[in-house]
Amino acid sequence: MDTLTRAFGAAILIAGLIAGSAAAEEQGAAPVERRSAGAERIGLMIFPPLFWRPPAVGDEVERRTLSNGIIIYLYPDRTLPLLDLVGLIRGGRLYDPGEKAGLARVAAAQIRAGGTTSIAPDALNDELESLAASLELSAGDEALEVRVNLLSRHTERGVKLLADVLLRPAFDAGQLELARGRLLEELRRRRDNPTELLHKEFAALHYTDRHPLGLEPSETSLRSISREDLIAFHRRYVRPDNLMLAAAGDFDKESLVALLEQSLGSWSANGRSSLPPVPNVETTAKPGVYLIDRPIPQSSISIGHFGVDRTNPDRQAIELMNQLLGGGGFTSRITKRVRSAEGLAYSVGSRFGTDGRQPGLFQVIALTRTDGTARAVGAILDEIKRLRDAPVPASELDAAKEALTNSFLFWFADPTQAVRRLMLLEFEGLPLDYYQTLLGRYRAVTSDRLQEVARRYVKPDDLAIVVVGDAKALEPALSSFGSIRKIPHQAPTVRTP
Amino acid sequence: MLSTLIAYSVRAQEISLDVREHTLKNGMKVLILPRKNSSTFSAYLRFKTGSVHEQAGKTGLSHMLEHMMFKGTRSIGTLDAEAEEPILEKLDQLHRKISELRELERSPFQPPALSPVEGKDPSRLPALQKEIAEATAAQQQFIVPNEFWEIYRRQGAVGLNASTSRDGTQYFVSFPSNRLELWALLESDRITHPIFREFYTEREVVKEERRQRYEANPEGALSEALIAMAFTAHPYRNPIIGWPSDLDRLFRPDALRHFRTFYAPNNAVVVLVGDLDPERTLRIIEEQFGSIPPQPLPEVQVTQEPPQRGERRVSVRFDAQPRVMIGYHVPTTGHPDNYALQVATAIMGTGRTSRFYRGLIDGKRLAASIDVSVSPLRDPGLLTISATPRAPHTPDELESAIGVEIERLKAGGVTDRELEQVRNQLEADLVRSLRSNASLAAELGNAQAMAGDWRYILESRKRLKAVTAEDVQRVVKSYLTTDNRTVATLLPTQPR
Repeated sequence: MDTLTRAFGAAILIAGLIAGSAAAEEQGAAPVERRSAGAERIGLMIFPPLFWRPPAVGDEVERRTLSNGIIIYLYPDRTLPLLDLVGLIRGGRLYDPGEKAGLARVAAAQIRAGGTTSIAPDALNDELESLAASLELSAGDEALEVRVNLLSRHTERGVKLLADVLLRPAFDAGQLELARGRLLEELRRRRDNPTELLHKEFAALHYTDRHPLGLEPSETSLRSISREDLIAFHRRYVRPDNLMLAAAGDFDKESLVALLEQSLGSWSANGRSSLPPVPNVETTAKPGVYLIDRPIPQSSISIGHFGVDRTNPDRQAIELMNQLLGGGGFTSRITKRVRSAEGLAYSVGSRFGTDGRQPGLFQVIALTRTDGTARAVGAILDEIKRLRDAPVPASELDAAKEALTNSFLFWFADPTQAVRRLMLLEFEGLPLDYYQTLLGRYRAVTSDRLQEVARRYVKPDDLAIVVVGDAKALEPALSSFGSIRKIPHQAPTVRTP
Repeated sequence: MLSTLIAYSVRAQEISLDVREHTLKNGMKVLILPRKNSSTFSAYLRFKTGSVHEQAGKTGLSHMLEHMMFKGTRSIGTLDAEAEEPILEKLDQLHRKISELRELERSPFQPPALSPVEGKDPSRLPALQKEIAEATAAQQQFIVPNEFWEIYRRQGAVGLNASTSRDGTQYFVSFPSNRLELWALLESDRITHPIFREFYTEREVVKEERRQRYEANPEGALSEALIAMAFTAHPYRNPIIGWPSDLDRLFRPDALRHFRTFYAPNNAVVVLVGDLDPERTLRIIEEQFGSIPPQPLPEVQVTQEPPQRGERRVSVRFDAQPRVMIGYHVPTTGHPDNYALQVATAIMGTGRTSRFYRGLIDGKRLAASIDVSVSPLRDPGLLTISATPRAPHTPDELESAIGVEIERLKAGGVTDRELEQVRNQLEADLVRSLRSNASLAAELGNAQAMAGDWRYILESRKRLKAVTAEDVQRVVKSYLTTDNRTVATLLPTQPR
């Protein structure tokens, strides 16, 4: 496969089109057809072909199973004496019981931080740090992720420690208290970072407290998490039929598989893995203006509504649409307008959630001075509407497709990232040749299709405008965008033990 | 060409760095490290100038110039660079006038009603703003916005960015390996024929960046106060992004002057790491960069910081939870004591086995986090400790507990085990730094610019590994003293 030469072919075609059309676009961001003499010349450059395709399962990457069913992905790359292991365990924030918000996050970290039945927490820290190795667990929405990074000469010890941590965590009570105390302090400091506060409030507004994605850990939920909860959590989620493991780096396949078999292969669990039900997302729109008061000279703005989930058949078209709107850096419409043309923001952009098991969020984010807030909101709303109302120039769409095509190899440049991506396909139930065909799906999106998708998935009437900033000054300025509701933020009143 | 390319292979344990080194006739230093790990390469172009070279009243200029380097060239980003030129000049004049008027407005001594100086009448402000809007609109006819970014992105670049530090300004990007010529073309074009179009709009962008990093961010506000207090004379006291009033008085000609003074090939280092043929790469670099004329570099006299004679304290009120930062003056990177201080830094603050973690985060549970660092700088800098107390503990309590840990180090020294661990980490960090072309290119370029030799990335590790327990104890005793420190405390304002 030779994606890059094909992309070059497309570039010539665009140059041809541009030469023929000097007509300017309507108002808004500057017309994309405009091109400098320098860019014209660069458009004619011919690059040597680059023979490359994404690494494939069954080729560079091998998939195996241990005797107890643990799925293993192997991607040897012996350029450096390093080994990475990445594990995915089904579980995470989506399964947190409402009254124990934060459980997955605490429990995942405590599997490692709380030591094992044979190694105390301090001794485990000592050993890993003196080997200059790291072994950490964290919780995402749908998965707990294990990450081990070692010098490959410590592989044997590292795998043994990994197995010990996964199979026999001790959940030291003192370490749980330490983590609880630090999380309570984090909660107390929640307001200090305006963008973090913005993201949390935007999510809470949409998912509500009836869904785990809308629930932040609270003082009550954090205080309710007990050592018994951690033990039950571990028993339920951390089991061989619920784990996938990927290895990248300096190893011999057979010896690594033998080592994993020896350390993890005889691990068994009762019955079959069963996960708690996850509530559906009520995708009711939350239109309006929401203000969170912080007396600082810059407003943090989030404008958006619900996105889609990863089974959506229009996923690639939506992703391209988001590239054009605000997800493509300096070449996106919103960045060009709000940052480059109007000087209203340093940080501005958009994301459109398409990769979750449940609907994600569509959000345009901008940070701007208090007295520029209304102008920035107006410009963003304009650009959102223009996606639906005006056809997308073919040249703009082609540029986005080419950018994706030409930079695709960077998705796989790091072997650890590459093998994790491939393992994630199986985890998410996507076909294993997904990446071999992905660029084709992006290329198939036409301008017409893009506009259809914009009309279907971008809903100006559903937009919530959430702003963290100086409420006294913002209230009059933002009232023209709708009735204002204030979101009271919890003043930090967390009790101290 | 073959004869001029000198290949060095340096081995540290199993690591070899096959760096090809060359100096172009105009003085530009070129480092090429061929690697077959992926069909990509990363480029790092560094000019040995940063905020330390700014004049009084013009702080933030190096960073502003860095932003302007993305605005295109005579042939990129414009339909007609010549037609733009008079508009650019007109905008400069208008913005200068506005700036003068604003200053007049601020002055209590020249009430405009009494002595309206010709052309300096504040009531002219709206008219000037209208003229600016008109000139800007006229320029819009010619501008192709963000085209420089667009070309890079469309051709598959990732990580296109730049950064300004106190001693250097660096431009970096990663590209598919078959686009080397295009990289050379774009970079040589922008360092020879840049046009600083949209300067005054970008100045507003930078002011937003300042608000985001310092004015709306408690940690940023505190570190700015600490640094300005710790340095009384050395320009390190100025924030890289600039003081607010200076930003309002930066003009395009300032950036041009800074560019012409410091962006010379003989003041630059270029590093390429990745899937490249070194001979061909050098040929392309010669072609694109070789004809840029060298120029004498100004002798910049940087005011040096006099010794500190007694503790300094500063507090910042902010609508946020309390935190504390402590800074100690330390010798420059490359000074023998700096190595020992770096080792002390790791023992105090890196990882769960560090003194501060064991003693204060896990042990006494006074702190939620404590970070310790020494910045790599050409002139003497600071060792900083940045800590957040856990309520109900106060910044004062945490500060004294940190002091107790430091005294413990002075009295009891460090253990062999602690030293051994730091050495193991150093070796592993070196191997890990080789994982990505981009980070390796940055490390090589930084070492070359800082120490005059890329091998410093290996040499410095050798020096760090040679640090003894006595060295650590000695430097902690001599530098981490009360009289040599500045303490900055962030205190909450009353919520309204």
